[in-house]
Amino acid sequence: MGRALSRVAGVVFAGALATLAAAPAASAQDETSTTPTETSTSEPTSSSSATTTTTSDTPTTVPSSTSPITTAVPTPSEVKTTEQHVAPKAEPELPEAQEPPKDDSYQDNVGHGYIGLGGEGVLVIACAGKAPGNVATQYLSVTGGPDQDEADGRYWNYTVRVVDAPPGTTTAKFSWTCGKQEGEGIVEFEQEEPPTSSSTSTTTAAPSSTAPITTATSAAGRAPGNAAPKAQVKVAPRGGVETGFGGTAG
Amino acid sequence: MTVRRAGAAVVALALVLAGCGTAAEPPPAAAPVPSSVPVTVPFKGLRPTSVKIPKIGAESSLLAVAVKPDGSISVPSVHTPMQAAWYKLSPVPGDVGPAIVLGHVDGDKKPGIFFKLKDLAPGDEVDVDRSDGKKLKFVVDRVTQVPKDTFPRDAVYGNSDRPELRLITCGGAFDHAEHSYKDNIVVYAKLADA
Repeated sequence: MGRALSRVAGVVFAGALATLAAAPAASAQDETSTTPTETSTSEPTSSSSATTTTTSDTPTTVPSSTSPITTAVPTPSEVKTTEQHVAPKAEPELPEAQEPPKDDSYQDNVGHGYIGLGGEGVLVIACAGKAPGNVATQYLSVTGGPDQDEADGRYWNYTVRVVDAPPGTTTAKFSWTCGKQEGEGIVEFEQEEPPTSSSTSTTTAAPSSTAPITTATSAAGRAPGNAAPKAQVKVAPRGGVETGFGGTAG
Repeated sequence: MTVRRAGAAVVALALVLAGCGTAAEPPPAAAPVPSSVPVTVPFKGLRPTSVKIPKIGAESSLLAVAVKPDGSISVPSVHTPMQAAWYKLSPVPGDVGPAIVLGHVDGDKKPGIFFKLKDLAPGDEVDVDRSDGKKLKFVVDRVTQVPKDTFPRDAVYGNSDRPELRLITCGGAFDHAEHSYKDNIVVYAKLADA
């Protein structure tokens, strides 16, 4: 009996070692099988065949981010379906990407607001489940939204306008609910010039979800508001524009 | 009895080695966040619906996008490089001010809608349709290539005294480590007959 158990244990141990030894080979096979996929998606695409004509006359009919265009080239998802038949993987694969885009760092239930020099701005709330609720902020009046960012429907936008912000206001808080979770974010007020005074003071209002803390500086600069000249671009985006990931353009 | 314990220990070791067992309870998995969700609540205001640039054979509908929480401009998915977008915090094309339209130069190793944007020259035509039925013609004024590090925000996003258009894409050298081009191509256009 004892010998028999020892034999069983030995067989199991050997099996485990065999599994370990086989794992790298399986991984290597997966990598190898991925290579033809990349090749198949890089078929030459003429500019004429890839032209999009999904224009809609009605403002509410918008191509979604999941099916915005029609091209003659096989979609990456179709290719991946084939690949999964060849070499199924236990781990979820990155969707379609052959070169990881820089914008896949999505975090749910975070938000930020931006007020431009003209006193208008936007609140951006990441809420993948559905539209945020109970949006509350101080010194701001919601003038539009919510509507989704049509390039990534997980982001929700509210357009806002400054109302009666104290002079020198640079930031304020806002809050919302995303599903059952509460969220809180900062609204930044763009300044015409960076504050030159190093001596800043902080004024704290009563902290609550409906009357968020507002931070102000003692700089003499005016707060963007009704008196500010209108900025035609309500909020100037930060940095350049990331509109290329393939490395094919020269 | 001793043999039985030894056998159980070996079996447990085998399971761990094979990746089937863990010594401690795994942390509770966070609810998965979908990588994309359908757009059911689009921008409802007046908007451009399409852009067409005959010289380079570019034509696309226009998504309405804003900024992401980090303040960078939201762009269409890299997996749909032929899709262009309008920055909805900029004027509607045809209204006074710089209307911002952006598109990929490429994506997924395929050419994007603005792959040939740098080939435009002063005098070239850009057509934009709006949701109110207006069909507008813009004329290219100049084409610039600027480093993203020193993106000229004032020139691109600053006020103008007439209806203008900015077409933006990537260009210049490609940084393979960053998966990003170092420059932006910016085309400045003005409304014809304005």
